[in-house]
Amino acid sequence: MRATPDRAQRIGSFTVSTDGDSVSAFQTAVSTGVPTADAQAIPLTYPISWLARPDIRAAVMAAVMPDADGARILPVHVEQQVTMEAPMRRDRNYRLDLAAEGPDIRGMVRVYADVMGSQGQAIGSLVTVFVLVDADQGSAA
Amino acid sequence: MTGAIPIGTRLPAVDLPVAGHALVASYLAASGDDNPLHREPALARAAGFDDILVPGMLVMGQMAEVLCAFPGCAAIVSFHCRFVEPVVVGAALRCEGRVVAATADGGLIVRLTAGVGRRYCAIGEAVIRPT
Repeated sequence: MRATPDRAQRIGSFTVSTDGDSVSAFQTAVSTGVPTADAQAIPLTYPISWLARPDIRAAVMAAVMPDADGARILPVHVEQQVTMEAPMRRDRNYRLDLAAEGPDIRGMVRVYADVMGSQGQAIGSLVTVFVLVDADQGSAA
Repeated sequence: MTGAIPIGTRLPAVDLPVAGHALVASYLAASGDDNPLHREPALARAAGFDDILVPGMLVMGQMAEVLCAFPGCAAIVSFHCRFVEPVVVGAALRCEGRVVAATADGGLIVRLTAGVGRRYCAIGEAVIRPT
């Protein structure tokens, strides 16, 4: 199931990975100390770290704020959806297809990310909603 | 009733690890999040908060771990979370959840909250595949 509606602006495709050390660091950070059945499983929210990768973040910001012109724009995360159709594995590469909508009149942006395996099979999807705030103005950008 | 897990079943409440400066720094390093609201106390104070804010995705990640640890959960199919209230670093949050419905294909819908008492900072709804 792809998350991206037809109306969204395509941003591009990126190769991302589930590098074992990176996954372990993420898992440690979100651990609650309560044992889970599969300690090797990739944390559900791990893919959000892909959106913070500098090239991916730059591509998203260029798509949603092409006229930012050096302004200090902060994305404030207000909503997140993660859907998984198949489990991810450690130390694998995946393809991330990105698209975005917005900002709307409230400064709200939606980023859609579809995760695909090496054969193009659907693995999962993310929908990230944030509000762009101008850090220097303290209001929606 | 769905399988062995009745609708209405409550997940064991979990006191989440306190997101102090060290845990927030650890999460920021692991996630790559460089939003200054999570890093720069002066900016956070200028925005009206007492200190830096805890990333909502750290809380959501912890809530997902609580769900994974629920003995009735074989896998999380989807998880939708809204970050309804900013959380200042150092807050002691509790995660609670309840099975509220079944899906047509045998899944279970679980509502989850994280917050201090009834003051929620994150409200989520997950679909899980039951064990």
